[in-house]
Amino acid sequence: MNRIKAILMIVFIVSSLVIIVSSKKKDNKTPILCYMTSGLTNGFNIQSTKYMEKFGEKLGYKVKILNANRSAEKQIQQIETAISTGVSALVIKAVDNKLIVDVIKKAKKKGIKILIYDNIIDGCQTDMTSVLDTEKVGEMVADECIRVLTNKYRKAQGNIFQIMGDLGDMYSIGIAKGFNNKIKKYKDVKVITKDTPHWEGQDKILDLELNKNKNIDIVFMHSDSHMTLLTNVLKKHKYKQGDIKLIGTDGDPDALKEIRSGWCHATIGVPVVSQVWGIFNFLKSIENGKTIKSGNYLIRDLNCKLVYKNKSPISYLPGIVITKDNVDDKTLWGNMHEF
Amino acid sequence: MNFKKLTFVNKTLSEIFNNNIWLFGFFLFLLFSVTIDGFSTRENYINILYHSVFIGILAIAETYVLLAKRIDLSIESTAAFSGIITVWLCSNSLYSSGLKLPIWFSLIFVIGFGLLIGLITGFLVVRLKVNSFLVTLASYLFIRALANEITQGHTLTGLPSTFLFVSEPTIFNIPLMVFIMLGLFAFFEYILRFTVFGKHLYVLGENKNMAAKMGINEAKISYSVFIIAGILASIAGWLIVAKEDGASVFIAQNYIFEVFVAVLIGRISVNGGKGNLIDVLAGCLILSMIKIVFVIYAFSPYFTDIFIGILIIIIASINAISERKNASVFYKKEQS
Repeated sequence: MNRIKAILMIVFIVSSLVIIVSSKKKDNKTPILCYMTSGLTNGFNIQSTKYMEKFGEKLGYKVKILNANRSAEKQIQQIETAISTGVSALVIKAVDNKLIVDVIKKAKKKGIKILIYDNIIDGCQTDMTSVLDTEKVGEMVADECIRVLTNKYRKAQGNIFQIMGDLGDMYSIGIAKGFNNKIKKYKDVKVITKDTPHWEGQDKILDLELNKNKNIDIVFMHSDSHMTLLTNVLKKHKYKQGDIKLIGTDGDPDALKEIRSGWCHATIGVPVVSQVWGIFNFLKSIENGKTIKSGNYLIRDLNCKLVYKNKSPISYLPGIVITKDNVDDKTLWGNMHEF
Repeated sequence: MNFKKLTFVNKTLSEIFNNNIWLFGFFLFLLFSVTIDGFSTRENYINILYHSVFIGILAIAETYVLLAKRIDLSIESTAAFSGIITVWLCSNSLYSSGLKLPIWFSLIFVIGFGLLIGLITGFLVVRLKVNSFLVTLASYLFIRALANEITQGHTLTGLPSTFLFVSEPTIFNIPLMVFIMLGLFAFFEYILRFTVFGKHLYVLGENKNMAAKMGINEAKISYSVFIIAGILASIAGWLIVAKEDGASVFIAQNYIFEVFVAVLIGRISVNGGKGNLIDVLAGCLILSMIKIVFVIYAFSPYFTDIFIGILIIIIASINAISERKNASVFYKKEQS
């Protein structure tokens, strides 16, 4: 009986292999583009995903969305699977821009086009990166801070509490660089900086700081996603709207809500639609092997600056200052409520 | 001619051929290969093996503990700690220790750590008679938190190139790590089948009283399984960082759930004393195939978690029913 079973099993395995080998390859004319998102827990990512699908399909790709749910390991495995199952291009919003380098190199070796979204990956060559000009954003925030402090004290003086994101994230590093470089020119402005590993716990850090420091004029955080939590911390410490001005970056719906309610002074909005299009604008040229020249380009009415870094083109887009004057602008992604 | 080895190979082959889990695995493999576009590529087949390496090693660890009618939830955190501490000790990144210790030292260090965790767990479970679920639930929490405290939650990278000796080599294009996993499966299956320790482990898991009557040292075996689990978990963590050239705080996160799916598919009884590692290997490969199919179809990770949760319930129920059925057949035979 066991021998019969074994024979049947061998026949089964051999026939399986024969079927697999002889099975005709299906029609693969439609190129596949995978958008590897880091997660779908915030409005920015959801909105980006929507436009990735829309623009990708417009250019004739079959678009697959793969959500790593904030796990770098999962994202690496997803990319490995995408490589082995045959995709034309990968658009990557990396969970961790360091751990992902090796798998990107692997994909490049296979001839897959690598497009990086919303982050800069150092240590490997990529075909296009579309990011917000974070240093410029930092400078814009610094300008806004100086305006607020000058209005309050009639000269540029005061205390700013800067809450960075993860120090491994170039997005936050870029913002801090632009901000610090500009603000250091003002000798009477003191900046206290704290970072938040994996962008978590911004409210706790503010809470601790307010317990020991009552002289903060502005809280500047590198992300809007915790804006409501930060507002709650200010309320807990008995502050009123305008006592301490909150300034953020992203243009998240929560930040827009707090601008309307008077807690948030301003945020620097990300032009999501243009940033996504920044990937697709050059894709056909990349596929045709054309070299994209550095310089200034117009991407959906926004001036972007294209530069080469480590032989990889990076398209930098400007941010938009959002205050109570333009908070209801329907073109801001934070006001697009379809998601 | 080494007859013992030959018997092992024969037994292993016959186990595969007579086994419904492997049959089911081959059926899925065939089904996916024929019906899913992009599944039947050489690279993808290698990925099935490659993506099951870490879950596989952790599944060996959990199998040993379950066979002894205990449970170990801490293997995920032990792996995470070992991975993070390896990078912390050896790398030159901003948040590492700055010691830049050699690769061999890190391996010895994490194995020592795994051993220590196993000893502590064993002491609490065997000597103080604390429930293994509670002990390992507590260590599940504190071991990962300890690692995050050391690194302050930062991602650590920049391992020396010596780690490439583990992550880069391939044999017939199959990564070395796959062979390490298969080697560990073979070694620990051999222990289960052909050593006194293995036989005692089965007896102890199946019937504690009988084990006592036979003079089997329960404490020694319980200590051993927790130590084996700790060491294997730490090796898994070390291999993860070698593959990924770094570690984030989320390293090995939720692996414990996948490990349980693999061992349950592999028909390891949570009531102890039943099952073998050949089936567990099939469980790991089946799980790996399913995960790859989910990526091909771009299912959301939430759906994947729902699926894994439901799968655990279904398989656990099937296993429970089949165990009850076997028990009643045994009882009837005894009566007659």
